[in-house]
Amino acid sequence: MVRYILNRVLVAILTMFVLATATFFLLRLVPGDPFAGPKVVPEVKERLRIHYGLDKPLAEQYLIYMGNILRGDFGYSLAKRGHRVNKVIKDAFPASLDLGIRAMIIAIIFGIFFGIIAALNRGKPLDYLTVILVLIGISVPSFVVAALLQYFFGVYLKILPVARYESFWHTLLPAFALSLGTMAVLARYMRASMLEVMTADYIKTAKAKGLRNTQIVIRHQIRNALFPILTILGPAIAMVLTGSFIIESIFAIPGLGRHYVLAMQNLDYTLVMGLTLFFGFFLIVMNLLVDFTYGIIDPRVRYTRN
Amino acid sequence: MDNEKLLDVKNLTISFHTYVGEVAAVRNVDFYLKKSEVLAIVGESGSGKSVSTQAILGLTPIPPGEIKSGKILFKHEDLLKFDEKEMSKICGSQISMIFQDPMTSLNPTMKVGNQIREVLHQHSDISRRESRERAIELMTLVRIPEPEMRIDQYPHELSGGMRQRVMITIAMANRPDILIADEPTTALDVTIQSQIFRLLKELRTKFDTAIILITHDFGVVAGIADRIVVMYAGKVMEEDETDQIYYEPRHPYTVGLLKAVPSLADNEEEKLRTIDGTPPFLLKIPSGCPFADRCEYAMRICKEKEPQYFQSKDSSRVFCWLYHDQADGQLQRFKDREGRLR
Ligand SMILES: Nc1ncnc2c1ncn2[C@@H]1O[C@H](COP(=O)(O)OP(=O)(O)O)[C@@H](O)[C@H]1O
Ligand code: SF4
Ligand SMILES: [Mg+2]
Repeated sequence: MVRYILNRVLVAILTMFVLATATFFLLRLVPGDPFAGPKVVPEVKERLRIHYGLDKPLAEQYLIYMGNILRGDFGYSLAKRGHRVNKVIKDAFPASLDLGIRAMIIAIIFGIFFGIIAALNRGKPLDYLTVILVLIGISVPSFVVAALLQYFFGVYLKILPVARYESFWHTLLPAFALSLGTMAVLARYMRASMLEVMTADYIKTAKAKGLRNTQIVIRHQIRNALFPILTILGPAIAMVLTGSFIIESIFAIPGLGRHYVLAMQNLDYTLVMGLTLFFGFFLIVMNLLVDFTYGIIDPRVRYTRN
Repeated sequence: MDNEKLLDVKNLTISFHTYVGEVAAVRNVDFYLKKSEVLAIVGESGSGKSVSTQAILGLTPIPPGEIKSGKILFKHEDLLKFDEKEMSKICGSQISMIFQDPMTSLNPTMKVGNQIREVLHQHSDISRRESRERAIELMTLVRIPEPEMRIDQYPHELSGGMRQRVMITIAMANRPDILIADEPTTALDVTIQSQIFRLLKELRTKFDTAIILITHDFGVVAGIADRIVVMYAGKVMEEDETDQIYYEPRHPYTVGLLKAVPSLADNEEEKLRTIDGTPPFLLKIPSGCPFADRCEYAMRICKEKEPQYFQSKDSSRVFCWLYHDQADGQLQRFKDREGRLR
């Protein structure tokens, strides 16, 4: 088990390194100029380039940057002059985390619930309804859903705020919009998992033991169907994370996602780099945690790894 | 006579509705089981053994399955008329079942102890402490070593043989009247096989449980069964007392199965002879005898008309045209050639 963990951590570090290197060089390939602007005269631009060290050879810049991030320093933002990237992340992360957690909770609870309902009513109207909802959830882009929600609840019914992130009521629409895609994916997996377990031999055994149908569903079927769902929680978190870029922008939520979109538009090298690495790190850690938890919870995995 | 029968399956017909058509898995099957006797149901794979016995416990998946006709009388009540709640009271307490593959028959995420205790709690009001003690007692009885430790283990920590013992523990926990064992050793090593059979025999003597033993291997039934039902293509081909079937099999299919048992063949040449051909496709059942294509003694009528049951004694019948009055010559030929079998 210890060796397995070490192994995984080592791979994670390597992934981070590759991610940093690739983003660093790819960003330089994007056409444009971080200091572009109608009022910026060429001399000022040049001074800024020297100030941020962008005049140095690319290889040297790379080495300096890698040295800095090893010390946990992401440098200064190019577009938001005078702001440290670390500070930008620190200030914006709480809102993103809050939104992400809310979206995940909604997605998990409703996704699993709908998956169970669909599986238990296989081939009946309720099943088809869920399948259609899942299809919509997966295929309709979140910004469309977000706009519809804003219009319906914010403009038409006027019962929820259209944007910003200040109270519980403000969190509802963005969290729901962000959760939809993930909810749909989870529902689909849960349904498939339930159906697979339903035909398992041990379900027949449970029936032969004289258990009532509801007891079998609760004690044997749902329980076992949940284990495979754990393994897709990692990708689910990634989905919520990428979704947050758009949702945060639409709802004017001061989170990381909104900064990311803006930074990309401004070609703010340091901020894009910092946010990419932060997101990458966050995702890798989440995936590791999910895997380890799976190993702890599922007796089969627990023992084969020992 | 009839009231001796603990279980009486009558005219059972079960089909499965599949995408390619209706599969007639079990057709007009009759068999019965008397108190504390062992009945073996023997037949090649696909002959309908599992489908007809799982119906007893209401395990037939409906849909795609459909029970088209029949009665399953248990203590004179038709189990096919029972609803889910009534069936749940019978299952695991008066009739229980163990399955072919102990690797998949236990819930992989539940401790074996809890799986045993679940069936105890389901059918009696006992405390958690009592059920634990009782489970350990039962595990000792079926010779699971170190039951106090094993009770907290998960199925995958046990060998196949041990898992089947756990299944037997679950099945016997409430001292059922009937135990249905569906190929309980097919997935296990030969050495483990004989241990499991010895255990079943022992439990039967101890608890007076009647057993339906399902197998495709005639080699294993001689020492344990009182009576045998031979099934093929969803029908009963022959039914008789064990000795009678072994010493004087009457159906050509039974003869074929017996010849396929290595230990029963009395000379080298006869060893490992399997029946040529394959069972009929149950989607399109031939109009005559289902065995006709593979039978060395097939006559013209065999392909044209389905045979009827020829009864000799109460417990003895055979589904074959050879026993018709007008087939004397052919029957003589059969007897001359196969009479030397034993
Ligand atoms: N769920 C099912 N759907 C369709 N066909 C089935 C199903 N279960 C069993 N059958 C068919 O019923 C026939 C008898 O099966 P079974 O009773 O399992 O045979 P045995 O136990 O004698 O090997 C087979 O032809 C099998 O394909
Ligand atoms: S009825 Fe005919 S084909 Fe069928 S087993 Fe008897 S002899 Fe063979
Ligand atoms: Mg079978």
